[in-house]
Formats: sequence, structure tokens, C-alpha cells
Amino acid sequence: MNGTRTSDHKAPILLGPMHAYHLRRTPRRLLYTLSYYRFAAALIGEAKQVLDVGCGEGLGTRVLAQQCGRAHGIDFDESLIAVAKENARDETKLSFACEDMLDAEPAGYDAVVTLDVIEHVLPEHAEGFVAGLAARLRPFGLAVVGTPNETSSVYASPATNAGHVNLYSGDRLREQMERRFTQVFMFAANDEVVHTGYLPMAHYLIAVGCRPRA
Amino acid sequence: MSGKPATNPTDEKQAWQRVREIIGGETLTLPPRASSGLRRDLTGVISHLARCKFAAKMIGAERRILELRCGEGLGTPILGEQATRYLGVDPDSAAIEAARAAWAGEQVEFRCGDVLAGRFGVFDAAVCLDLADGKNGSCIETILDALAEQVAGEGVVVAGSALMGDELIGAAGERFHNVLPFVMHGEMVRAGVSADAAYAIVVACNRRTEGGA
Repeated sequence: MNGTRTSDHKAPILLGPMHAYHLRRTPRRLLYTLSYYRFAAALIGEAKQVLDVGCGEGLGTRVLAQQCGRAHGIDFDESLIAVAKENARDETKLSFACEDMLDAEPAGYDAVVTLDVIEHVLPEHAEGFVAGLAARLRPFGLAVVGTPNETSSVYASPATNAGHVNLYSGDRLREQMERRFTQVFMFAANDEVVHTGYLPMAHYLIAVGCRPRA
Repeated sequence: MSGKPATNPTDEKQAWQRVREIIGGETLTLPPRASSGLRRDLTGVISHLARCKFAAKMIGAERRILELRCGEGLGTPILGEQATRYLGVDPDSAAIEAARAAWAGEQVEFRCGDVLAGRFGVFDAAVCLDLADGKNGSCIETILDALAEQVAGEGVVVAGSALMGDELIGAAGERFHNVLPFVMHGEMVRAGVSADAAYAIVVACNRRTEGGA
């Protein structure tokens, strides 16, 4: 276990507006989100440098740091990043920065994870977003992209649907990823369970891309 | 807005602002032990939340729920989400105070009490997901009795234990006609019994009566 424990490990964890809202109203959602992070971490493996794109308050980024070695989270929402930074004070394997996810600088991460983000990216920017994920990876790096299935939107809460501008089917997510990654593996998820079942009936889609295309 | 994606935002930040307006600015400070767990090993927290979700699904909606050994109530939001009443009981007064501070709600109540000998009413479901804490395995039978005695006739008991699967299933079978066994690996639940399972959970109903079949 690669822990992120520090001398300040007894400080309470602050849940910011995102997690507090969902924990009070749809508490199972936190379980689902963290389970998808755990799935991603298990695929990435240990002793890795991981970038969490659109990390929000950074609770999931913490799973990546604990399981994979080191994790850096970025998000364009300053107030959410402020919560993430506060909770990660003095931690050496976990860091955060306020950055626009669409302004990708080339980097050499072992893996990039982005969960519940691409559906917030306008369709005309999605190609650039995925290209940015690929650009932040080392040559044989791994990208894990998770997003609600478009078929699940009728069951989503107003808060969930409000920011969705680009919902995906499994086929479209695979096609989007295949333009930037040599191999793409598709997974379905219902609640906290990630599986390889019939994608149109999945509540959530997870695409794993390997080896960014040159 | 429900069921339809946002329309015509000019950029991602404008679309995101709609979410921020709905969720507001409320924050929540997690209790000390829960915070420590998150900092040390979030996978343990994920597993615990998954157990609570499994229990909640087995219990169903519109039920009165008793949870023994609730600790700081990390599972309370999930267990209590669809309950008409949730009572969490734990002998640790500091944990109960932390639970009250974090998870107060109309249908939610916490009490500091003896989970072995105490009796707190009659409920539709009684839950203990920390049956054997590693200190005293013999508590399994005592807590199962406590759970059984506090559920209504058609009620359901959900009990879980680390590393004590065989004892749990055996003790539950002595007390209930119907015992559904499950094992958990991480957040995954599988039906059945497994000697190498890190965590076992039983769903039990229809209590055996003294001298009955």
C-alpha cells in the first residue's frame, strides 16, 4: 500500500459543495464514484504517476495516490481545488492545481484518469480534450475515461443533468477514444459494479485507452 | 431540466456554473475516525459503503432501521436514505457525538448504549456490519440475539463480519429459518460461502421460535 499518510493525518476531511450535496441527497453516488476510481487504480498499478483531469474536490485523486503511488489532480473550478488542496496539506504523494482541462501541456504521466468530465465538455471540444489526455501520457501510457451512459440521463437528478452537454453511447465513446489510442477496452458499470455487460444497458461507461497514437 | 442535457451553453465553465447554482455552498466536515480512514486507506471506506448499500438494498424502502455498532455513522446516509426511521447505537460516546454532528436529520437518531444488552425498540430491519471486531468473536451470538429480538416478526436482519464467516452463518442458522449467505471482496458481493473471504454477510429472516422447527 502506498499511503499518503502525513504528520497532519488527524486533520478532519472537509467535503466541499460537490460531495456534501451528493452525500446528503444521493449518498450512494459517492460509493459509485470512488469504486470507479478504485477500478482505474487497479488497472494502472503501483509506483505510477497519475494525472486526474477534472478532479473536483480530489477525493478520488486520493484513491489514485494511495493505490498507484503519486497523483496530481487538476480542475478549472477554483473553489473545488481549494478544498482539495486544504485536505492534502503537507501530503507528498498528492497535489492539485487549478487548470483548464482543455489547455493541455504535453507531459509524461503513466496514466490519466478522467471520470464524470467528458460529458461536461462541449461536443466541438471533445476531440481536443481526448487529444489532450493522450498528450499528457508517456508513450505506452494508459487513459481511463468514465462517463454516464446517455441512456441513463432520464434517471439522473437535475443537479447531475444540469452540466451535461455531451452525453455518450458506448459506441461513440469507443470511437472517440480509438482516434487517439491504439487499443481501447470498454467496460460497463451499474452502481459500484464494473463489468463487461451489454453497454446500452449500463448506467456508466468506462473506456480504457492504451498507447496514445503518434 | 431533469432528463435533458443543458442547452446552448457557450463554454464549459458556463455549463458548469449551472451545476454550481444547484448544489450551493454547503460543506461537511467528516468525523475524526472517518477522516483518518480516508487518509489512511480509502479502499476500506469504499468497502464499508458498499456493505451499507448492500444492506440498504436488502432492507428496501420505507422501513424502520436499527444499526448496532454504527460508530461515527459513516454508513448512515446510505442506510437511512430511504428509511422512515434510522437509529444508530454505539457504546462509544465520542463516536455518537461525532455521528450526531455529521448526520443529523429528521428521521435519523443516534444513541450511546450497550449494543449487547440494550434493547431500543422494534424495527423492520436490524443491521450490524461490525459483528466481530477482532477482539471478541463470541460477541457474534450475543449481537445476533440482540438483532433478532429487535426486529418485527417479518423483519430482516443483516449482519456482517470480517474473518468469521463460518461462525456467523452457523449462528444465524440457529436463530433464523432463512439465512442467505454472501461474501464480499472489496466492494463486490457474491452469493455463497467462501473460506478465504475477507468479509461475510448474512441476510436472515423468519426467526426460529423456542421449541419450533
